[in-house]
Amino acid sequence: MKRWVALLSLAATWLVASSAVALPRMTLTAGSRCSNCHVNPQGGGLRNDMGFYAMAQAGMATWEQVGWQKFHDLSDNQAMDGRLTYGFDYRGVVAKLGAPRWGSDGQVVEPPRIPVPMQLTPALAYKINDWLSATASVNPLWWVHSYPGQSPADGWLQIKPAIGLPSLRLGMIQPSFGIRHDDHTLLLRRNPKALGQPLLPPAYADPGAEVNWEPTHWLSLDAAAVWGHNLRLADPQAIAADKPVFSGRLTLWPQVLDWGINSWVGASALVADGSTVLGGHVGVGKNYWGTVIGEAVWSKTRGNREILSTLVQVSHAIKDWLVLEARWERSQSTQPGQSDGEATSYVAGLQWMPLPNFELRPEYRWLDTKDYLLAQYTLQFHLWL
Amino acid sequence: MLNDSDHPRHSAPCHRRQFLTRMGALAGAAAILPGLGGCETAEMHTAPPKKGATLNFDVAVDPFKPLAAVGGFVAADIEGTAVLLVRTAAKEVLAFSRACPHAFLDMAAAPASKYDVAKGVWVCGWHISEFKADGSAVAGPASPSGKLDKFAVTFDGAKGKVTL
Repeated sequence: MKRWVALLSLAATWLVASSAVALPRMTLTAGSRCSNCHVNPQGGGLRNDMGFYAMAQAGMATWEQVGWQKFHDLSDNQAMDGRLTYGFDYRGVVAKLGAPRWGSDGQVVEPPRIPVPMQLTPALAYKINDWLSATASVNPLWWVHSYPGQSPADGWLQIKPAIGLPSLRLGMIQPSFGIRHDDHTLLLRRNPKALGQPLLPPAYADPGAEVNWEPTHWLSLDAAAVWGHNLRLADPQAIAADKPVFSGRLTLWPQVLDWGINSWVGASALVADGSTVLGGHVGVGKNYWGTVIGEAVWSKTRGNREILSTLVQVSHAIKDWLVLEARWERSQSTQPGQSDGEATSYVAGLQWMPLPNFELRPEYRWLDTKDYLLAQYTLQFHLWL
Repeated sequence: MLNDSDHPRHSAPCHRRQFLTRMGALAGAAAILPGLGGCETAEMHTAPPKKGATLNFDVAVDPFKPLAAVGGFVAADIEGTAVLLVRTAAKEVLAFSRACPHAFLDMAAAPASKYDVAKGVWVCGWHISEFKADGSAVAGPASPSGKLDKFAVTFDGAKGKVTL
């Protein structure tokens, strides 16, 4: 009986979650928390058994239909009686990286379109006992291509006494701030005058601790303190020395279950070496159908550099395996004695899962800055377990 | 692990037809993608470098004193064009465009930027791309296709001139 209840629960989770691939849209179409499907309470990365099962058959074709019955029958990503959870993420992109420039002949030279491997991250989580677990992942591609401040690995011990009580993560972690996006090209995370320089790099992590607390179904709280070494490497103009970084995030999760409406609204703050970053995020989604997400981030750093960035993103699930997505972003920067920075970005694309565990994301991207305009087609791909 | 009864098999022929139909539709959609190439564009909002504009410098005079030693570098602007001057040898100064072709950042502003005398390469300190004397990237995210614009320089070991 218990087994049937568990299977029905898993099936229900799959039904509500299968129309989504990437955070943060997933929580709004599934009506569930990031931690329901991911080992990391922030979401992203290694999936737990629920997360694995939710996506195991969410493709245009199933593994069974293409003749891989053995993989189709794999019902979880666990071993050692459920103590060990394993997985990986591989992400890459084919795009024109960088910016156009003036050539020596007076003609505009476009950056070449190249394939860029971004992430190859095997990850493990081990449940030591009912309240203590260990999680670790490593990204070998860090040694091939990385941003300053990006960490080649993260890992933590998590103490989670019981559901409803605060949990504590200790280790190499990324402090919670705003929405955790899986696309690190967002203007929200960058300086419009130096677009290759993220304020919070992708896969950023520093040593420290974070408390995550979901006291009720409509509230979550996160508070972190880390030693900001990698954050300084990311933006040494903003942060001059390795110093403590403190962050906090509060999110409300209102739902109208009868209408299938899920939403969240929240605020974040991060302070480090005299720099302050504030953010607000809001999202509304309807089960199986689509989402609207908004986020704004304001920062003031050394030298009175201020950056204000805004994002609006909409998505619509045509099928479980095919989602339309569009995004508008605008970022502006000011600093006394320097010219202002400004960038606007439009992105429209598809999230297509031809098979479970495999996503292709063709997109059209329009980026207009004070220095240049670059419009291009790109293709992201994501393979995971 | 679950057994087959937990994962009932689908009716394969029906799904195969469905799968092939969907693949065909998507292949058709993919076929029109090359035609969309016309929607790609690149434009500059800044003025092009003024061909023939020049800059005279003296390594004994500010702001060019960092060029007094091999490995030193300075940022300069020549009629609106951002240029990087690097002292690479006793009688050699190289001049490049200052924006790294990887992410368009000002290389002179990166604390880790340097001329690696032993390897004979300019290192962009933002993402550690390395560039040879001809401006071509040999390592890091700007490689293999990235290239810095290089400008003509005359230098006698003390004074010199850059020409765009």
